[in-house]
Amino acid sequence: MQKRTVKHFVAIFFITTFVILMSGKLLALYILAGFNVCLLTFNLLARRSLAFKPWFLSKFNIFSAKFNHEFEVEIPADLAFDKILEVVAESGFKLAKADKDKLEILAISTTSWKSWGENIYFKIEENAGQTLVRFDSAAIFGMYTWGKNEDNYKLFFEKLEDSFTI
Amino acid sequence: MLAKRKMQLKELAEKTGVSVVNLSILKTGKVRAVRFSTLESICHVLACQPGDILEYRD
Repeated sequence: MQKRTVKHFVAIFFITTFVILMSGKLLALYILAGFNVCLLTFNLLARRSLAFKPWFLSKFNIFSAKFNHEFEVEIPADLAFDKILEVVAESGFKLAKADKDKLEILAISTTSWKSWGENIYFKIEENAGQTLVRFDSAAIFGMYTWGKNEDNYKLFFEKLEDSFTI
Repeated sequence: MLAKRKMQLKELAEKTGVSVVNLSILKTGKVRAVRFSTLESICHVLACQPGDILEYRD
């Protein structure tokens, strides 16, 4: 998945450079910068809503690098929901939305000088006595996250494992 | 033990400092490990021995 993202990044970089050089005008640069600013603003406004989950996780949204993983927990779904809420707080993520009816959680990683942060989605499903948790991490704005999505998962999973020692 | 002491899980959680979620998971037997400090605080609040709340099943 990351290789494909890098390919996208490289392709768009070269196409953009080509267009700018060929046009010989700054107009293309302005259009590109305007597009980026609009997209970033929209994403920052939409990030705290579960309604925009499909937008951030869509495979067609190449401007948000994504990572997902599914794992099983040995506790009932409602308990898993509460447990994940606890672990999210311990992991240093900020809880944005939690829907107990749909068993969905949205958390956001902290914004820093080098990152706009990532949206972290949890979806808990109970299937044939098994409780499955789907973890999705999507960059707010960026085609490549330099492993930050994966780091979010590692951090969360380590904290989750630790939390089963009470 | 909770029933014997007429205590609810929430009350036990408040007195021991262990979250309700963790106590619920402990009840289901799905925890990986229990710290001695947690066991001590539960036994202290319930005024019981570890053997009263732990059971070995083959």
